[in-house]
Amino acid sequence: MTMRRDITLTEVQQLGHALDAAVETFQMDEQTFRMFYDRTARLLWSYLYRVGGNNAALADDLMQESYYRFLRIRLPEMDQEYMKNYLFRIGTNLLRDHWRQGKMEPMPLNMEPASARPDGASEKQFVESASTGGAAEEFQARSDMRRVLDKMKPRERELLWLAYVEGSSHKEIAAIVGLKEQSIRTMLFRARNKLAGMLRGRGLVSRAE
Amino acid sequence: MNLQHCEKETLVIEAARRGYWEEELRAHLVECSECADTASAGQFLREMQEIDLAEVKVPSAGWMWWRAQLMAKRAAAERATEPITLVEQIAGACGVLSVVGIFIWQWHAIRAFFSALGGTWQSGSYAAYTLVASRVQESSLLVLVSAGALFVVLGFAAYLIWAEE
Repeated sequence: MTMRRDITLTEVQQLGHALDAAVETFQMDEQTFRMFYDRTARLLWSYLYRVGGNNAALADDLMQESYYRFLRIRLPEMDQEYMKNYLFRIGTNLLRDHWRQGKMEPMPLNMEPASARPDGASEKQFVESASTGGAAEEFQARSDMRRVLDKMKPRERELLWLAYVEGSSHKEIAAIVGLKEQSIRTMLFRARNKLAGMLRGRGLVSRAE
Repeated sequence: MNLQHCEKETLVIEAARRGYWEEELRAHLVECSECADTASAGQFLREMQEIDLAEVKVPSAGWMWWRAQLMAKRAAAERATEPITLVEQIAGACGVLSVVGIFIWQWHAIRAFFSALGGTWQSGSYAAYTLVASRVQESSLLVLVSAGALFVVLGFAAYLIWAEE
């Protein structure tokens, strides 16, 4: 049962002050945020998408939440790279919270909705519309790549992505994923060997060009 | 576990990220299996990122700023109305507790009142009803009114204090 009552003038004023104060709590101005966002948004989305099990809707949600939390946190003066690492740390924690709550089960490839694919087309639609063999081959190659990454553990995906895609140092990775720096080296070594082994097994090893 | 570490690993990672290989480094990959694994893993992941960066459409920075502001305002509104909701709940709980307390405290008087009322209905004696009712009123009406007024005043005072805070 809900109770309704009239709101008083004092309450309206208080609400107004609280709302104004909420906006003032952002740690950076709009212009600075725009520059930071343009530099990091796609990188963060890609990280959340691949580490999160190729779920575009999840990546969208967590990216929004990551930037919101980033803006709300009071941080000391820091350079752009440190800010980016902090943003990735927030995203990583959000992903982990999501897994803890049991919300995410990585979807099998043939059940993934069309909207969850970067190319926006379902597997069946894509194959039917591919008039040339090249498109179908490319799609097959992408599917193989996704299957390989799906076989990695979330933690392994985090470490590999941060080290080999973002180029983060062991110290930075430790800060982002919340582990000791000494552990990163061993875990990364194992994850890399596992990935390289799978790539060899599927014939996906590409030569340096 | 034997953690082999090649001194050129950092260069290999950087080359895989950039997609550009110098001849010397490329030749090194043939000799060093560790770096070859690093190179294949790095290139594989970079290709995945290239696909994403080419195809994903993220919201504009302006939209994200507006959205963050909206979320902040919503959170602030929830925080601002929290004390009001709390006081409303406390006032409701006080009301329920006071009614229950009065029933327990004055149970004998209430029971006597309803017994007499039932007897009156059965006998049809208006005089008996008036007598019992007046006795109950004398003993408990004042207390009932006082307690009710006290709780109302307390609830209102608590509401004002919380609202100001």
